[in-house]
Amino acid sequence: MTVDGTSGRVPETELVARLLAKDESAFLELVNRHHSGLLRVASSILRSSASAEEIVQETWQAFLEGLPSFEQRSSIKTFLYRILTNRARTRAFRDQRTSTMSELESDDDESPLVDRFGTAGNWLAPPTAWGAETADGLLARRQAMDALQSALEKLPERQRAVVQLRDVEGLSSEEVCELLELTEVHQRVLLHRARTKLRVVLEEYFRG
Amino acid sequence: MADAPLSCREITELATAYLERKMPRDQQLAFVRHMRACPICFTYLRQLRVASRALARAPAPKPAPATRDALLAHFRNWDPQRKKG
Repeated sequence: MTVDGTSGRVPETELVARLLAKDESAFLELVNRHHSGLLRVASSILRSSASAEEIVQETWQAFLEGLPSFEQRSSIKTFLYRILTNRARTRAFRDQRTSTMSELESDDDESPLVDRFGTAGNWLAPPTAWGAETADGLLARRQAMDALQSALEKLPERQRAVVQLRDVEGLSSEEVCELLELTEVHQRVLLHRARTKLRVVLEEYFRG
Repeated sequence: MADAPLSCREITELATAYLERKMPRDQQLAFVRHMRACPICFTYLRQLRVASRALARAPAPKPAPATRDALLAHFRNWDPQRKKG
């Protein structure tokens, strides 16, 4: 399983070189691309938006400090998220909040599909076509995408962090398990619950 | 029995394991067999994939101008030559 950490744009070595040469547009590009995601994951660990903002600021500072010795064995994205999750956990511990993600609770909710099946496990209320059957089609539907993004924000903390890192950022399950200190099975359960809910949100949107 | 037919409900429960390729071989065969025969579950799985791919490609919300300016100011003061610590 390979992940394209560069999002298919500028090769990362080139981006790092531009940053080291203090190219402001390279830095802004990186900030625009990652700031909101970093914030999303920070707030899922910290549950306080003020602390999350601070941790993300610190993450960018630590990123720059570490950049001259960054050996690019991981992607920039993974490097950033590693700094972030380490700092957020330290901060959470200091603030006497739940110390790790695995201990956070609040999301063993029941499946949103619970009423959709008959006793034999057959569909009673089957999914129907959306009229946006590809990613391009869905991306072109601004309001559907807004509904999807706001549903993502409302997911329970751990589910939100996992979807952000897996689906939005495209990190591998191994990387996400390491960053969030989750077992592989647990990570998959969280991803599953999150994706199941997000699909239902789109379904409701398209049903009108 | 691992390769017993799967119900539609089971397909939805196993969808992520299937997409992640974390499924015993027998179960995977049963999963694929069900998908070939059931257009509803086929649609279901496609919708899961479409949502996930759209999230990957959606533009990230930009940071607030004040945040961006603060970070940029930090970048301007940053000295890449300075040793860490």
